[in-house]
Amino acid sequence: MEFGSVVFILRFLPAFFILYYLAPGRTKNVVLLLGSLCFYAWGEPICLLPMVLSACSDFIHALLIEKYRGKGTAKILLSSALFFDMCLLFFFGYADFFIETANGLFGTRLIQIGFPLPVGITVYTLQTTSYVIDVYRGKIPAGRNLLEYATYVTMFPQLPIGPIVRYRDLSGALKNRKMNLHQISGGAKRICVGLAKKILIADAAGKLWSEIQLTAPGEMSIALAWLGILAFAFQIYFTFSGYSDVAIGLGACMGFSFPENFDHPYAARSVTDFLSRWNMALTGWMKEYFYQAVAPEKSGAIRNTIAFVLTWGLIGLWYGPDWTFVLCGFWMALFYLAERLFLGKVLRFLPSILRWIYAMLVVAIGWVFFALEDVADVMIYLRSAFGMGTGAILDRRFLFLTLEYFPLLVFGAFFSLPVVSRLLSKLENGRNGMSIAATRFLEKVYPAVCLLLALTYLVGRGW
Amino acid sequence: MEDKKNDLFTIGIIAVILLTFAVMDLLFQAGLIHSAGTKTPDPLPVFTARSFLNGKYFEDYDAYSVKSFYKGPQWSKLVRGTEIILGKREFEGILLGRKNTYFESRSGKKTGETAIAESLDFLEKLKTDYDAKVMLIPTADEVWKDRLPAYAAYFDQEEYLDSVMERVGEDHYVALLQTLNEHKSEEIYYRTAPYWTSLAAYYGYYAWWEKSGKLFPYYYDLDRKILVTNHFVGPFVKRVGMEDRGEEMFILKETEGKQVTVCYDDRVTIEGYYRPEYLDAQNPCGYYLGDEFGVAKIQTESQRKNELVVIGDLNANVMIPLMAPHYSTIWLINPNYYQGDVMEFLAEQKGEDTEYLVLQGVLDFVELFDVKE
Repeated sequence: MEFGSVVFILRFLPAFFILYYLAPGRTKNVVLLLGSLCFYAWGEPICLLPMVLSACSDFIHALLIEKYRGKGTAKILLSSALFFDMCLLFFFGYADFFIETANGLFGTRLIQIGFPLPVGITVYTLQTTSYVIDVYRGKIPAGRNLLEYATYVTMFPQLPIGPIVRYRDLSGALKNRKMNLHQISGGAKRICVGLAKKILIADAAGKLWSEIQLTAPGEMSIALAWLGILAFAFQIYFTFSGYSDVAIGLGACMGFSFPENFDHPYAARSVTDFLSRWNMALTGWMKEYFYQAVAPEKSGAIRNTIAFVLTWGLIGLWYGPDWTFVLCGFWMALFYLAERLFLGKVLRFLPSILRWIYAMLVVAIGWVFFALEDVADVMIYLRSAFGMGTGAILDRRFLFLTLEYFPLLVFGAFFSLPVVSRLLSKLENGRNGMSIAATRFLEKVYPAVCLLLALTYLVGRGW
Repeated sequence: MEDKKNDLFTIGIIAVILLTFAVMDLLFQAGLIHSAGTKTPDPLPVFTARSFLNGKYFEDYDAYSVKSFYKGPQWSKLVRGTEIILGKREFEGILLGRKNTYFESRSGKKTGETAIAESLDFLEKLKTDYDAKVMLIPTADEVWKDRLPAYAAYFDQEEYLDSVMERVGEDHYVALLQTLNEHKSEEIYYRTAPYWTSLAAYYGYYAWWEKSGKLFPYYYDLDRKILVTNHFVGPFVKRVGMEDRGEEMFILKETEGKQVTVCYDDRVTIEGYYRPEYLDAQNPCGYYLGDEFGVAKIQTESQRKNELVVIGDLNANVMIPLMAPHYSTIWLINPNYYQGDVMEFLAEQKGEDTEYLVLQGVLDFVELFDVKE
């Protein structure tokens, strides 16, 4: 089920919350589990299979690891759990990608499985993996309540794209959670804002990007190529951050506290800064469970670098089975490393605006890798963006589309930079009663306006 | 206390909005409200084990749930209206131009050089093999260029038509661009459809006559035109889902009430040029001689022996009633719908008294070769 659909917003959500709030105490987990299964089954019921297998495997493995803690068997069990998870992920998510790569490289004719990438498989696999590793490391006891564990694995808010939540951060709330009005109202606001980001901005930006793609990359003017990058940058940011907002909001309405996932990444003044603001939960997970495992403390520089590059390659692959995603990860890693080695020191002497331009330039090029499926297309596109395509600076198409999507470009820039939060805090810090009243009014009204606009657009665009 | 009030207010207002929409949706779905705004609501997707397992059912249901939302078209108009206020001009491949004129968008469409060359070769072949005349009709986005939204993409029809004249020679080429430009302030095209009007066809007829070698033209009196409807709403408006006040559609008095039979694709024969049943159809331009047929054989009252073979689109339908008195039989072949080989068809009709004419909108004609590419 998609967050930005009529079925989810107008049918699933009201029905779910009515049942959830009516359910007493611990039965809330039952409602949440059943709701999550319905959410997940809507669209691809067959994809429930890997989720159930992964949940059962890690639940049992964790119990056994705890039983044999301190013995060699525990390590074997951990390896077995991880191997099983990776096999599931490989088979259901990435098998066709690797088969296609092998066929391309070696001229083999291996037949592709043709199984659709199950929604959320990359999220719940990382969640269950972190759970079993945490049990192995002794950070948490193995859960003995299958209902609580299944609720954690299947929990629908963060399934589409995160944020990835560790079991240890939720286990308390899974057992006993208290909800208060402030938390619910905060959650409801986040849901409204998230839906507006997705439906009003991300979808429109996606449409602009699609329209730009109608022009062959080699025939674009410089301005059109950059407009395309901007459109894609807005599409990807507002989709991911919008969905994260909805997930965090839903969690809050249910009494959970999910970690923040995006912190105005387009305001970053270096690539390091950008990566620390983009999909923070995923980066944190990769750092803790992959990077630190491959290059533990006091590892040599070479090992650290290899681990680092691998981590970013995997982060790229997490977004989907495509080599251009991996290349995007490598591209970001390259500048991250450069900043750690020498570039960071140079950047310190530059004015803030130049640092921002540098960071956005690197990110923009990274997005071209992310947006296109073919490396050759990426190269052609970049050539156009840097004036080596037609060489034309402007064309009619750029001017037409800029006029067509002018409000989107303004709103996109406005909401992707921390302008709103700064304005609100300025108003709030104002000493006169008027500004305080204005802030309160805006805070009360803007979520409702966001929701109303998002719903109107949602039901209106189908025609 | 104040914070609690604020929280309650936020939750309340969000819940009210959400539940209002949810109730509207549910009541309609439950059949308690019967007004999706459509004459034929979309059918509920069919549930089968296969469609359930492969996810097709859910995909279709998601689309259905949006389409069947209570007063769907009104919501759509609201969204469109807001977007227009915000400066958007292109919807569903249609451009909303000045003076409420709609144009087919050429965004991202690029007529390749091969298509242009092939189309010119085709015309030259028709001229050489059949002595065919070429009368390509410049479309509204050429003549009414000033009505196009700023910086909208367009195909340079003037340049293309110059190439056509060069290839087929002036004696086989009926120039329309200048004629239509001279009358550009008149309603020579439908604002809401990609075709010319009877008025433009009237000007076109005299331009054709001058090149036809016929002794006299038939006299058509514009003052005696017959108003068919003043609520003509073309397919562009329906595609965009906007409201439009409609426009006038008229025919020339002299073309009505003729003893004419039209046989479509060797199957159905109907009398007369005009088809009122199309006025409420998706494309009301079908009023002129019908729509979506491959070949129409039009037999007129004329006692002459000569025949005319027209390769044309709906623009040709508008003009044929004016040309008909010059011929006993007119074959109209529409390449958009004709399933067989056009060249074979033309060869079959070849005879001493048979004339050939290409009578088609420029864009539609060139796009025939784009598809081939």
